[in-house]
This record gives sequence, C-alpha cells and structure tokens, in this order.
Amino acid sequence: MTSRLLEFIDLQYKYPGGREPVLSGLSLWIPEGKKCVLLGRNGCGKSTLFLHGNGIIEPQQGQVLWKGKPLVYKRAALQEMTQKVGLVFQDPEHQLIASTVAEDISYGLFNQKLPVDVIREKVERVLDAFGLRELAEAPIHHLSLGQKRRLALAGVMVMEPELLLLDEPTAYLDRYQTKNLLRELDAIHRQGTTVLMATHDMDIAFEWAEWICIMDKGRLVFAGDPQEALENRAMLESLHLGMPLLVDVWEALPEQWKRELGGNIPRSVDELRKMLSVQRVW
Amino acid sequence: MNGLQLDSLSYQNRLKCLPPAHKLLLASALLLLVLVGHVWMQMAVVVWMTVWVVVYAQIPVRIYFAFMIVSLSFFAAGLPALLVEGARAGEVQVQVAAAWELGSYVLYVPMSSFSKVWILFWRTMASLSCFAFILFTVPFAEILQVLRRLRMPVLVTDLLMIMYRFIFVLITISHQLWIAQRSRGGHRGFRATLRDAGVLVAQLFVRAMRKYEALHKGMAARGFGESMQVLSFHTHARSRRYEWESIAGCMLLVLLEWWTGGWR
Repeated sequence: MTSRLLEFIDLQYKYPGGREPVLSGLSLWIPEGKKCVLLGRNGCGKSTLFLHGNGIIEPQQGQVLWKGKPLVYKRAALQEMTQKVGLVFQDPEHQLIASTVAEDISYGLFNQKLPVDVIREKVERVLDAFGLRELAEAPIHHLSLGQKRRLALAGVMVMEPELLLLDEPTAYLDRYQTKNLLRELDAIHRQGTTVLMATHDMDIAFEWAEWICIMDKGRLVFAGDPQEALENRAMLESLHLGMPLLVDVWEALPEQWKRELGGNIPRSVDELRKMLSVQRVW
Repeated sequence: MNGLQLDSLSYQNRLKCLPPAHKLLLASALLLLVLVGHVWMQMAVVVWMTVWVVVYAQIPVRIYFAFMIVSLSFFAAGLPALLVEGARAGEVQVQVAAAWELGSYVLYVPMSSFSKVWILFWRTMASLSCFAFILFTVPFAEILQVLRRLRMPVLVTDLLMIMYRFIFVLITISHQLWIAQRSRGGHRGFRATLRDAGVLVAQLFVRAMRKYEALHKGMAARGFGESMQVLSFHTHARSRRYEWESIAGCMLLVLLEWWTGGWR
C-alpha cells in the first residue's frame, strides 16, 4: 500500500460571516509519490482545503496529518510545514512579494535562514531550471501572467518541498503554456515530489493524473484510480463536471472496436493513437 | 507620463549598469551643493544633470521635461504666497511692482520678492534635476539594496518594498476598474465622472483590502518570518569615464561657486 503523505480527517470549516460551511466533514488522503488531481467545481472548497494543507488555516473541526502525525500549530513547526508543503496560489500576484524575479525566488530561502552562498547557488539553479535566467533582474510587474505563474512555481520549488499543491494552475493559460506547465510538473514529479493539482478541467485531469479525488460541496465524493472514475459516468454527470472529450470520442466508436482495443478508455490522444496502431481494428 | 512609465524607463536606461551606489552618491553630493550654493552653480547643476539624464541615460527629452514641468507646477502653485504681501494702506514703504487696494488694506507685490522667487526657482530646478536623475536611472529595487547596505532599519526597507509592489497592483486594479466603467458607459459628463470616480475609489479600497488579505496568506505560505530578506542579483560594472566626469564635475562646481562669490 502506498503511504499517506498528507491526510485530512473530517475537516469542517466555515468562513467568518459565511452562511454555509466551505468544508463539511471532508476526509481525504494523498498517496506519496503520485501525480494527483483534485477535481471540483468553482467554490467547492478546493482553495480552502489547500490552505489547511500547510497549516495556514487551522481546522475548526477535524485533523490534518502529515505522514501520520498531526500538524502542530506553533510558529516554528508551521514554518517547517511551509517548506515541506509548497503551495502555489491561483493568482500569482498573491504570492510574489519582492521587486525583481531573482529577489523573489530568494525570499522563501531567507525565511529558512540558510547561508547566503547556499541561497545564491539554489536561486541560480532554479533560474536555469525554469527558464527565468533572462528575466532575473526584471521587475515583477513587467512579467506576463504565464511568466508570473512560472515564477510563483519557481519560488516554491526552490524550497524543495515534498508535496506541491497547485490551485488551478492552468486557469487563463493558453494551450501552449498549459502544455509547458504540465511538462514542468512531470519533471518535478520525476524528481520525487508528490504533486496535487486542483482543477475543473476534465481533459487535463484525466490525461495527467495517476490518482483522482473529486470534491463537491465541501465533501469528498470519490478518490481513486482515474479509470475507475471514468467508468462511473453517472457520478461525474450528476456533479456537472462534464466528461473529458476523449471519453465522448471513445463512446462514439463502434462497440466491436472498443472490445478489440481492450475495453479500457484511453487517457490521452497519444494513448488512443498507440492503441489504434497496435490493434488494427478497421 | 505616469509612475509606470517612469519605472520601466529606470529599468531600461543606458546607465543601468553603473553601480547604484555611485549614482546615488553623485546625486546626493550635488543635492548638498545645491542646498548650500548659489544661483550660478545651481544653473550649472541643472544643465549638467540634464546632460546625464537626456544624453547619457537616453531618457526621451519629452518625458524628462514633462517630469520637470509637472513637478514645477507645485512651485508655481506656491508663487502667490511668495509674491504677494499685504499691509494697511499708506504703510507700504518698499518699491512696489503692482498693488491692489482692498478697502483700508492694500495687497502688493514688492520688487524684492522677485529676486527671492528667482533664487528659489533655481534652487528648486536644481534639486528637481538631481531627483530626476535618481528616479530615471536607478531602479527602485536597487535603491532598496543600497538602503539595506546602509543599514537602514529593516522595518523601513520592508515597508518600502511592500509599498512598491502595492503601487503597481493598485494602479493595475484602478486601470481595470476605469476600463470597466468606461466600457459600460460611465464617465459621461462632469457629474457622472465625479460619481464614477467616487465608486472607483471605494471599490479600490475594498479590493486593496482583499489583496492585502490574500498577500498575507501568500507570505505565510512562503514561510514569512520576522523580516523580509532577499538576495540581489544585479550585476554592475564601474565606469572610469563616468567616475572621472563626476569627480571633475563636482570639483568644477565647487570652483564655480567660489569664483562667483559664494562662501567668501
């Protein structure tokens, strides 16, 4: 069994002044070393859940466990959690603080009180890894949205977190930038970081994820293998999340083809192409 | 010209590669000279600084003059207070350039105040040109780095850094709001413009508060400790030519001041 990296148990949370609770008894765990996606419609509590993930919000009820141990809501322990769990906000404007790109990347490292030489070396490495070298001295308000997103991600990854939480990282990005981002996330995952991405884009979710959680109205509806979720069409439709385009295409294929191709719904166009080239169904 | 433009110019000017500390040192030395010196030397400072900004840093002339004129308008607004004096009719004993009687009082412009304004004008111009040099050639992030090296209290530099980020966030939001209002038919006529501007300011406040809360969470997520420290990556190269010119120029200015009769 895969070990549970981060676990939420029966979380309840209501914003002061809010009428409905945002999280109402949510239990969920994230398997270590997997590419995970948290699916849910806007306003279902994904962002609030993420803020619980590194201890910024203390649960009003319920518990958060990191590797089986409950989080300690003390300053020093929380500081450590922000290093282990990297959080990338939906709006990069909210987490970019310093005035230039390189300065901003170094910000989190200084909070860790590392020696300046180490910081310099780490920042240099991340600048190259994220293709930000040429922008190193550019002021943040001169960057485009895509560049700001990349910088926000770089500023979090420089801390070498064990778990990376991304809140709607593909919102407002064009297809090309989305592809690049997913490639970057794959590279991050290969280097041993568990990634959890919140999104409502079904196509991206099923193409990329190895583990899928679905949230609705502050509760967990499903957690498990993506294939399993796809087979449960009635559930996905009742949540109004829509189906991935590829599933609709798959369903339009003749029954006999599907049987011959093995019955499993392909997860990406590449996979479908491979299936078709191996098994000549026509 | 607006703040945004000034900021991007400061990142693109030709003197960007010079060490910021040198530029700040030159400007502050000149500022000091201007404050203790006299008109001829101040005129020379204006000319010299203009050469630095327009020729060496390649800041467009139009923008440089726009900056000077906008700033001088504050000087102009203060002129009436400098020029006009009042007294009881019949008690005026100085040479008068113009006078208006108001009942038993008289408002008049004494000849002597012209020379006062003349002196003040050149002092203002000279200090403005020094500030223009700093604003156009040293990016704010580098000014901050110099302040940090000068052991400015952390609280001050942190606040300046956050303010600098927020200025542009607020400019962007207010611009978005303004566009939204315009595209929905707002700002037609004087009264509507006033009302819409009021709404804009109120909305700006609300959104600024929301931004502030979000930024607070963002900082917590990045492990904010007691103070904000960042690493500077700016690469600067010293330039003999400019260093030589600054030193020689300052010496010449001191000589000029001495020769035209200051400090004797």
